Amino acid sequence: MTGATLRGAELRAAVAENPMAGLGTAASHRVHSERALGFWVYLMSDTIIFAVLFANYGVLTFGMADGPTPHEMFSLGRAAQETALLLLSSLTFGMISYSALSGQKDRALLWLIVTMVLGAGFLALELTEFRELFAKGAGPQASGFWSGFFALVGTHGLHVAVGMIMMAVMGVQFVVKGLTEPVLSRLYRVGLFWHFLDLVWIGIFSFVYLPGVLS
Amino acid sequence: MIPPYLQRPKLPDYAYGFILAVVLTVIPFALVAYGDMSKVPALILIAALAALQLGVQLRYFMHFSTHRTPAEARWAFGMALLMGGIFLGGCLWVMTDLNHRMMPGMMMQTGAMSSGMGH
Repeated sequence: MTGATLRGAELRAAVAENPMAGLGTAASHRVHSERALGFWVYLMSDTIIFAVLFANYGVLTFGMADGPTPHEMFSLGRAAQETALLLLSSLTFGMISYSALSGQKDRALLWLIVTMVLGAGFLALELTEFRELFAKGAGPQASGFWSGFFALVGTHGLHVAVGMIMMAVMGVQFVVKGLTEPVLSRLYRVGLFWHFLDLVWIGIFSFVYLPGVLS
Repeated sequence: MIPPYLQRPKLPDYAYGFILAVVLTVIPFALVAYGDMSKVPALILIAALAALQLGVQLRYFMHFSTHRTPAEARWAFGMALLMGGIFLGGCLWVMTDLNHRMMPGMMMQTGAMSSGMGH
């Protein structure tokens, strides 16, 4: 990014620490850094969407219209399992980044599959939960509270599903294109997205499930 | 300078981040499952632990820092926090105030007042 280029021992030390640092040119670095910035700005606008959905949920917290209450419907155990899966998947995504940026394509692919299995486990638990809630008459039409719940938790779940598609695309690109600069630049953005979804989930278990079980 | 997407993250970062995140998750879950704290302090503690964990994951998983996150992204982050805070705080404030003003007790009070004025 700055004009200064590394030489000799300095360059060797930098490459030992960051094996993929030699990829690309100053111009391509600029292009991909701008994409990272653009993606970051997108994530921040997504933060605003979730802030509004949290606000909506907060406003409707007491709007249960004598219908099913979260205390009766929420399962602390399942919320804990979902949390564990998502947190573990955030760690294993870190392992994808580490392996890919070490130039180890096969290992990166393996961690990608592990992360996708954890993500699929999360989605399976969430879908089971939604199905049970519908069966017990706690669908989004039951009351303002359940509308707010499904709007917030459903939007997060939809993001996780999109993240799964992104990871599937990354897996194909690992195999077809290898660890090239554009692939690593994309992986960086998918990583930001996946870690961001774990951040949103912290808000969901802390402001939806735990207070719901406590009430 | 190596662009962030080509910088290999450090394994200890993920280890610290994961251990801290597990601790900051287990405490609030245990509090709800086994604790006997009264509701309001428990909710405040859960919120404080959530804020801490947001910071931990931003720092160790998303590598949010002055040297890896561009200044523009940090400004965007600050702006998103500010706006999200205004939306959340503003909505909750206005709507709880509105609910409070529409309490049945209050309506009786105004009803009594208006009937009093009628005479």
